Amino acid sequence: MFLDARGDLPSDTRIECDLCVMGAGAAGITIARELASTGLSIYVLESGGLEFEDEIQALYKGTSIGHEYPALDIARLRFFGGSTNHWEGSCHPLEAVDFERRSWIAHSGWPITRSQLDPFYVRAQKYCGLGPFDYDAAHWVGKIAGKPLPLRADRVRTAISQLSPPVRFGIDYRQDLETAAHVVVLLHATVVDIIADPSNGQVSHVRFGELGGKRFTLSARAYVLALGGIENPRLLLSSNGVHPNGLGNQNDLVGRFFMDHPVVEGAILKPSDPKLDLSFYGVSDTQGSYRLNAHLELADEVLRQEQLVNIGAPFIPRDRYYASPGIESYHDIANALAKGRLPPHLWGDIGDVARDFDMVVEASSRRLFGRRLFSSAEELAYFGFDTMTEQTPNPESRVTLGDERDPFGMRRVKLDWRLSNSDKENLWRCYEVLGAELGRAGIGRVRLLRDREDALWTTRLSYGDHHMGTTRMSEDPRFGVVDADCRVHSVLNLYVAGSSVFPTGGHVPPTLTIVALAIRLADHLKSVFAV
Amino acid sequence: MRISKRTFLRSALALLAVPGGTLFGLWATGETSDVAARITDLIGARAGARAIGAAFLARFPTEADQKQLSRRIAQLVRSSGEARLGGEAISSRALQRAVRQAITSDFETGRMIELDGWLLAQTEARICALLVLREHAMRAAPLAA
Repeated sequence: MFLDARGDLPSDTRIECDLCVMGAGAAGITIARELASTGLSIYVLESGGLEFEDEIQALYKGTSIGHEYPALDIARLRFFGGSTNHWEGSCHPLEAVDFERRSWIAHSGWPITRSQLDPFYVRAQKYCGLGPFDYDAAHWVGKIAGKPLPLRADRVRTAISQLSPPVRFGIDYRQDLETAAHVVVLLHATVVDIIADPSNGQVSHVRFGELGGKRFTLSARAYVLALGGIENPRLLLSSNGVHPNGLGNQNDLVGRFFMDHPVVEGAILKPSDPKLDLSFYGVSDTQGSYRLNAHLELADEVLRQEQLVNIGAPFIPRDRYYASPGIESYHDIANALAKGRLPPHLWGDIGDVARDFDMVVEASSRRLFGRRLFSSAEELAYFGFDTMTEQTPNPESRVTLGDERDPFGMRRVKLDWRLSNSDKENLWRCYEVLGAELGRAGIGRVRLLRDREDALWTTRLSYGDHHMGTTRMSEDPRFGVVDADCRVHSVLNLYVAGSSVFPTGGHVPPTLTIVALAIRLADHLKSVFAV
Repeated sequence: MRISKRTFLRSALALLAVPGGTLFGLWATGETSDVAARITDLIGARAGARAIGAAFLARFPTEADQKQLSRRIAQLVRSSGEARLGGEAISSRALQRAVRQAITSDFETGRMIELDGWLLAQTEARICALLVLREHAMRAAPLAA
């Protein structure tokens, strides 16, 4: 059943149920759906409605004081279905090595292994609308177009990603929750406080409200926080009625270790053969009925030997227009002149413009008249490696509460995202390994775009918008907010779902792992409730 | 030394796009017992090779010695294949194969050089440098060439 807190609930309504799920994104919907047939009475509290609404979305606004970061009310969506309403659908499980404690990465290591999570990944595949749980490139040879490159598997391997249609959780699973006898999805219900009872170490109730001013309470036997990697710590930090540092924050870990996946096109491949067949990597559209693509990543052996974190490097074809040195030099000259000086390599730049004049003319035509002139502009120049990389955990990279307040009186988020030099250096070294192997195999030569380093990490930096690490998982409460069951260490009946529990984030999008962990948590809750 | 954006991109395109997939895609046009000549004759795209060679020499000026460079390359090539350089026994095809093998071995063992961001095998960069030195010497002493 779906209810709307704005019209369906009188103010000061008190609700009692077995389980309260806060947030209806991929994690919250999965948990509610998994438990829908258990007979447990479940309330899902969703801040938004069924569609995007400006004033609800604006609740996400916050400030960013660290490394440049996208506006906090853009990277995620606050209505039923959460950010699956705009995700691209790329899925890949974390690798076994991602779960290990890696001696060269401080704060690494999960309290669970990949093999423990595998059965849940299998179930998560279906949720995400994917094929068989097989991410080994060899499995797909002959089933999709092309072949993997002949690379030494102990250096660089081909990895498969499966692409969700993408499943919009709020659309695809809405009916299941609507028809579930014991599930109520309460829309426009924003949780503003989690109240703990210090006498028994449990949450006694939550307070929630709607923008019109009505306020409500809900009391449950157990609670799941599933608001995303930024809102999860925000609500815990805000819930400081009993613990002044916030709920679950006795060791000052809530909000710390914020991570994303930086995406950087920091290297290119010039193939030896301009007709190099990369259809296996999704460069062509001949994948048949499967939606897959593939990328290159480093082998575990290399990561251990070289003490690196991994990258995912897909081949992105770049045409002559995109790659034009003449256009780039033209802009260098124009930008320098606009600042009243000459570019440092004036004659070289002029030479570039002269030799690449057709592309400069093409650029002018496109810009001034919206017309394409030369078909040669679309010829392949090279492949770019639009690389998603793992960010190493850093306690100084964190979510805290700012001084501004939202319409509910909750303090808005202050994000201090930090990227370390070692994260940047890691990328170059990974490219070197990639370049060596592609050179050895005669595939081509790799160029590292070090000359653009500043821009790569600022103006040209892209983001996965994957918010991870802020309520990290550890068996030891000194090092983690939640335990291996995703229960907040210091609170007996409060659980956290979503990528905020990831101690490390790997180099792949998190949704499949979020859903796998949500299924696992749902199974755990079945045992807790003995249903 | 900064190579112009255009020159280097073009160089790489020309060098690497030749049939066979390596710098040395074309056959030698003549046989000679001169090591430097035989190896540099394998180069198909000379303009690009010159750009790489010049960048290499600017970065490693102590390598600007034609004889020494020839010897180093010959050693690398010899250790990588069956080639016997400097004699009449080796065919251009075998020499090409040996050079390729030396390049593969460079990448395998991490003997790489980064020039203007390009990750190149030491051997291929040195051969380009050899071309530059050789042409320079020929221009300086055309009668001796």
